[in-house]
Amino acid sequence: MKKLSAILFLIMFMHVLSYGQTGEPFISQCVMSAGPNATYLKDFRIQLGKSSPQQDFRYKQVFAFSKNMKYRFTLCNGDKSQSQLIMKLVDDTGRTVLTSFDPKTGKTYPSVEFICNKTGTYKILFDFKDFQQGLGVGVVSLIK
Amino acid sequence: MLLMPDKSQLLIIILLAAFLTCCNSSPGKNTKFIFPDEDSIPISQAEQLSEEAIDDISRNISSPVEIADILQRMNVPFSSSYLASSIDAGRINTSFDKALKLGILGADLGYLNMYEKTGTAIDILASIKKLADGINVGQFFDFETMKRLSLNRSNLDSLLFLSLDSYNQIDKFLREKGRGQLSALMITGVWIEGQYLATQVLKQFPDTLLRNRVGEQKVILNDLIMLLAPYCNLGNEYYALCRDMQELREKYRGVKITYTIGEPQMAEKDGALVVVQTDRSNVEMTAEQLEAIINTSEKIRNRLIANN
Repeated sequence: MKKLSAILFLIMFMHVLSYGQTGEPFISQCVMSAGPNATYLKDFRIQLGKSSPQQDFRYKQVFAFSKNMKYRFTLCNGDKSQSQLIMKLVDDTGRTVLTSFDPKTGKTYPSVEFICNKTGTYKILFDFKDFQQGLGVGVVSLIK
Repeated sequence: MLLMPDKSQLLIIILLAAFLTCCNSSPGKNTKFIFPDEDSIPISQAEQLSEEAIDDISRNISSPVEIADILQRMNVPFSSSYLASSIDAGRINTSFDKALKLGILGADLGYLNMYEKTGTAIDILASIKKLADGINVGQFFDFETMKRLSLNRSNLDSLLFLSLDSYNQIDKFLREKGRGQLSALMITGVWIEGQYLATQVLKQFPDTLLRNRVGEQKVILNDLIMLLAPYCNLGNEYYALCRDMQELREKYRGVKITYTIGEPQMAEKDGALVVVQTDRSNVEMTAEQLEAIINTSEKIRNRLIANN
């Protein structure tokens, strides 16, 4: 009985540790990596399993961007992610304004600056490259 | 061969299962794409919007920070007269008022942080704590850390992050717990105070950038009205707020926002991708329309902070 209790306690302890690693410090680090001239606005915490290819990115959120403002998207991957976190921005007419992934070259950008000239509500879509499983954070900052 | 656990072992296993379940967060989610076109949905239909559609309405908690950024670019000096200093958190009784004023003070906190007025920020933090505790969301604010950061100017970025992050977490929590009306009130409070700040500054410091920013709020106001619409019949105070927002929308009716389309320009700079949007939005707003918007925004905001 004592042995079983000890094993269970160890499992719980390890779980707490692993949970902590995916929590706030990871997000803070990502916010910090946006750079000294960046003011944090919002973060999106993305955790997705592996999936068969989809028509579109799986994690979708809405955010309002304003004309004459410069924004920065910072994309951070958790240790256990199987591929890079990627994003795209779609305007209210459904047009893709930007994507952090170039499908022709396969290059991904962990940081994207967006100089906005049209105020409106945009959809921010995130996924992991090739629809792999992963855990990541996307941070939106205002550039001074 | 499997052994049957005895009672104490069974109890530990149940506790372990409960523990693992409660600690598993799932920040990722797949929301359906049912985004309503702002001007096309009348209020009667907006009242029946699905939860997924409500999730797809933008929630601009950070807008006062952006406004403060514009004010700094304009070299507008800080003024405490713009703050909702008449709010006495100790005298607020209803959840409606607590949530709404939590939003208003959140906007003030953003303005103070951007101008590095950390001493006043500590006072506001105390009020925010009372209001947040009053609607059982105080756990999302790490007040001790925020106070500590307020005392050290070199940590202002961290303070701003903690402030905005706390509000974002509260918004998410309230929606997930079926308390969307409080979340909508908080978001409305943030927006109203940001609108008040922008319009009051504009009265004193006319500026094209800020003027356009106020005009463009027509788009955001429509979103906000849709966000509030499901709750307009929850009581007199909700009804009055919805009526106020409709009145402001009327003042915006004649404001025209036109768009020109272009292809985004992309370039790589220091390993980062830089995208310049060549689409343009343009605001057409007369001086009379602007004056009406300024006056109505002021009237609504002052009514909301007067009822302590």
